[in-house]
Amino acid sequence: MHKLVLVDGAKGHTGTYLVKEILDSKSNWKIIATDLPVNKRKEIMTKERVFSSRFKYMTEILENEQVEFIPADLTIKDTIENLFENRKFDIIFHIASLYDYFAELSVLRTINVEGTRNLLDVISKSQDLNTLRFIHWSTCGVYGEPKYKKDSKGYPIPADETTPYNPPNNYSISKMEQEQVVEDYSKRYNLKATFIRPAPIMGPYQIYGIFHIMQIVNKSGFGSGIHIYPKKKRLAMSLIHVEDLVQAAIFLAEHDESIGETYNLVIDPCFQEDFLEYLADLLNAEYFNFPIWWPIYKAFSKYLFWLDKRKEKKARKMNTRPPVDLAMAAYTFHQYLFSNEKIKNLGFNFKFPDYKSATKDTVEWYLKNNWLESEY
Amino acid sequence: MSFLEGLIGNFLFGWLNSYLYRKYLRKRNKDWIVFLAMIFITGLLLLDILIYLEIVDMTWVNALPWVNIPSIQSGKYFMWNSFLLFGLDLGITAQPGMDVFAVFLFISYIFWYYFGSKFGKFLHGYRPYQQGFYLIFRPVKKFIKDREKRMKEEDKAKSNK
Repeated sequence: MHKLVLVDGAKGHTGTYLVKEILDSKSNWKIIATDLPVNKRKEIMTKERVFSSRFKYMTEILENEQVEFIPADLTIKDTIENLFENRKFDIIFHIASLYDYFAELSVLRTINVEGTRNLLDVISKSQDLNTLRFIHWSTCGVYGEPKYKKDSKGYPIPADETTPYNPPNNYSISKMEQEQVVEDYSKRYNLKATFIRPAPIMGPYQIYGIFHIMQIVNKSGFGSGIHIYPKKKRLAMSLIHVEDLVQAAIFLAEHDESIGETYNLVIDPCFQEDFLEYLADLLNAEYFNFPIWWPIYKAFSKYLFWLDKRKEKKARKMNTRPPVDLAMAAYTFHQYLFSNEKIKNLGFNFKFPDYKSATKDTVEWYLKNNWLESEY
Repeated sequence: MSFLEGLIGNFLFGWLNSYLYRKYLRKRNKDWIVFLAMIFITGLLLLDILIYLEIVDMTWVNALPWVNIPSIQSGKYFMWNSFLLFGLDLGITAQPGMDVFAVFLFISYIFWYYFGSKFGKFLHGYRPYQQGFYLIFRPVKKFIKDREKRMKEEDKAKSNK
């Protein structure tokens, strides 16, 4: 069936993948892609240049005849109105957000929260809300570190979509507020919205988040397998492959059961130590096991977090960015364990269901394209 | 070098050689790590054994005013009394049975070199593009300086293309 879809944030990592996925699987969908004008994007997305010199997304995909690219800025309403003039969309994939842990909360609020409000304002006035499907991109970060239920042996049970908000950093706060804006519009205008909360994304072309872990293991030459004792304290690794993420978004857009629902998008649970061991193996780096008692590990991680905090402070003084953004360092002592049962129960099958398949695909791409240095 | 100096020296040279290997030598020949170890350990071990057996005479260091090595068993005295050259004379004289310990200490040279080499690898990396754990602990100013230098070089390379 012919459909007109809008993809915002189309020049970003997930945006380009979504456009590619639609082009590959939905030949009768017409895509209106939008993103910031080039100069504005360069000004805001400082992470894109700083963290990898090889940075480049698949923006050439936007030149496909099935795609029409119209630059727009969510913070300027006039530019959004241009997008909707004389167009009735069937699906809107709202990906556009400033995903940057280093950004100030005020900037994040302006782009992520107010930008979404502007978009929804225009949508509510110009679109047929009885037919329009709105897929909203949020993040698992809105949960922060939840209070986990425990199984009979004391191991944490993955948190599901009913877990309350507890955002730990500015970015997650802005995403929580963004979700609330969408929820508010959904109630007021009966907008058929679906919320997706992806875990940290990995996949080819990515230069932020999980990419930093790969870069650190590759550059240091070591993958340290911290074996925390007692075992029930071992930290989980939450991930999602970008291909699964965009496939899930399309899947949800086509399933009316998902209207008004929220879905975690995350691979099956795995431990950080297993992920690091496998990563070290793929990157030809040394791996060593280091058993440690949880309180000592936590104290040491908090010390590293404090060091990183100082680095961030210094970097801000020097008007630049630290080696690793502070919020990412919190992953070393927070338990982030989320359930993907809800989307599985709806019938979605992950192409990369576990850390091994997702990591292998990503690392092989990086090595093949020299985004990670290698001798081989 | 006496025993303790030898052990410390082995560790430090293992560390230094590991750094040199990663930074300069691996690009030329991957076997340099073995060459360096063989050259250094053989040289030091040979020298110290010859001193211990008094084939190399160390009484010449008596020229230093704070050193006083006896003429009998001068080599053993030099080897057992570490840091003589730095003015620390513990006055340990060779006793029967100490030769066995000396053999163990000589053998341990290899291991101390290995520990130093491993430590260097851990701290500086092994392959030319690796930076070891120094990557995590290096000062932020240095990191930023390096990053800006890299970005300038890449810009230059891009503009040349």
